[in-house]
Amino acid sequence: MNFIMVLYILVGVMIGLVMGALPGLTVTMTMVLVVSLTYGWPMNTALAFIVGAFVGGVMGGSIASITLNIPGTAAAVATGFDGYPLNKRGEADKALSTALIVSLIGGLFGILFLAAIGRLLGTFALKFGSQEYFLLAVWGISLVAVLSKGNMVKGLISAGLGLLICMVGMDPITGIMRYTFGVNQLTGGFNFVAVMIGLFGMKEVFVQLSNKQAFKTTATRYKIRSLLPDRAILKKCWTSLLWSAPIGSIIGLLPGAGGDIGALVSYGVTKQAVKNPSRPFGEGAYEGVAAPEIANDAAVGGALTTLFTLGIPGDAPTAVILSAFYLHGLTPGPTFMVMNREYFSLILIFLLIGVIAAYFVGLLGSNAMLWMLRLPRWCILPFIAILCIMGAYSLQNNIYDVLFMVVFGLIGYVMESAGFPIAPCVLATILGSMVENNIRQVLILTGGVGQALLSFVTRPISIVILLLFVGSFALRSLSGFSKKKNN
Amino acid sequence: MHEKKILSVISYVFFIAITAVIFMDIFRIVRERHLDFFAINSPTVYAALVGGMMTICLIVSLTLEFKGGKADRDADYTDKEDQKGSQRSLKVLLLFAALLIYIFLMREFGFLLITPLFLFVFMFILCDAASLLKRLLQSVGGALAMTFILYFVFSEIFAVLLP
Repeated sequence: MNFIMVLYILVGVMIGLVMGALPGLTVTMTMVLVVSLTYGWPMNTALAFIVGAFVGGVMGGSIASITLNIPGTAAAVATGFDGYPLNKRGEADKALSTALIVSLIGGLFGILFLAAIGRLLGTFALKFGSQEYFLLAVWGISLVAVLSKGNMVKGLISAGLGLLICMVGMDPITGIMRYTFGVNQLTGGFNFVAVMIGLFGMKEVFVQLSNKQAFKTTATRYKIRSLLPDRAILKKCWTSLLWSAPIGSIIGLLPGAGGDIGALVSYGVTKQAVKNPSRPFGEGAYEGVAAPEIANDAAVGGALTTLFTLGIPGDAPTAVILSAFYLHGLTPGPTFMVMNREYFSLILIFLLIGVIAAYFVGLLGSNAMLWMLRLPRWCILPFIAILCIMGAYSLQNNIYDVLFMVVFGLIGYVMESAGFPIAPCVLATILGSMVENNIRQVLILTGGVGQALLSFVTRPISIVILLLFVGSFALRSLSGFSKKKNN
Repeated sequence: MHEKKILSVISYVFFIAITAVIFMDIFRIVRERHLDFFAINSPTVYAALVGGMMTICLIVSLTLEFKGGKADRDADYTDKEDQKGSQRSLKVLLLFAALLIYIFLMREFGFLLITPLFLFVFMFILCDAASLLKRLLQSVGGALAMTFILYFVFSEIFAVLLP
């Protein structure tokens, strides 16, 4: 750990904040581009940069949400419910200052959560076998499919595509070529980072191409003093912070559920629990900005806990971070806490520095970011397109990665336009080999399908995961049913 | 037909083709290698499971689409919306074709020569400046500046070997 690494974290935070603030550039896309850039870097430097960009991106989404009512990230949607009305009242600086300080508090809470729960969960996860790994991977993919936009069945179809993408190339056990059709460029399979850049990055270029909406912001320059924490506002909001941070971390812990769901749930709970808010919710209540923002940032700790201890991403951005680990030779999972404990501690330090840096960069750089929001479409879209191309090319200096990236971008555009969510496809691409290798190991070790199925219900940890699996689907069905009933 | 409907049809055709390809390759492997399809250590079992899941989901999804299709048919799509949708899809297809040409030319002629041209065309089409001269100047300036900044950042700072 040295000054150069702190510099990398700082640069990562700045890039993440800017890209998280720009509508259309999601945290996930930011992470995809950042990860592709770090290919070939020393591992510690790459991790510092990636963690900085992640933390910055999560915090940056709320800036566009408050000033433009266009959330920079899905997790910032709930922040805009009261953030934008505050802007319309001429109190954007108060909204921004609240968002910044509670993001810092939420981020620190998430780090504490990761440090405390991560080690406990890591010890427990050492008892996992092939059955448990398989169930966790399938649970993660199906949960993302179920919770994504669009209907559940389309989410599962999207996940099936991701599983197929994983199968292209050499079979891991027998060495037989699958789905290559004699094309040499496919013998190594698809580079999953190129696929992600296409599905998240280039897809967005296609989607935004026809969007004539200009980013009209009425934001003025803010004095830094006005962005400092307001004691009176924090006094009003502190009770809602008490439950919002744990809600964010626990929801972030669930495979496939991340900051966006944590922020919405926290907003909903706060709306129910706070009887005398500073203003009615939806009209500029400070509690309505504080609660989702702290949950959103606390979810980072939860998502990373699941990632490090179980090797299952908590949400789409952490799925990209998982790919970054693979790229740099680290394998998150139960053995990570034992074999790579020093990296876990290093990442905790990077997160701590990143969260604090993001607060100060946000404080000092809000005006610069607001200026960037005024950049015209004809600048931003070509910039993103070229970044995607260079990002894909930089992976292996292979022009075919770029070609596949563009093709997947078009596939992503068609899928999204037809209501098929993209996130399950990407998650399945990353987790597909874990699913396949483990189920085939279970089949080979047990010697038959019947014996394999029996092994899932005779192992205690497997039964717990199965119950959680079934329970999460039942909860989803119940909430869907009660929504229909209310309508 | 409404643009969304067309894209929905295309996506379903794509997924049905993907599922067919899964099973076709399974049969190819079983035939060529004389493998037992139902053997526990066969490389086709997992692929068959994925293919089976896709088949069931596609049948369910198509059934739901068909049931919801009547509501869509009754929906009041205006000619203007149809036209907008067609224009949108055309823009996407044109950009896709342009990107493929750009990738091919970049491989042949290099990043520094082709990227400014591509960016100039892209920016010129997107730019909404009032006068033609302003559009030209903004596109040329933007293309050159972006190319050289990105080249410098990727080549010199990130040490990425560009074509």
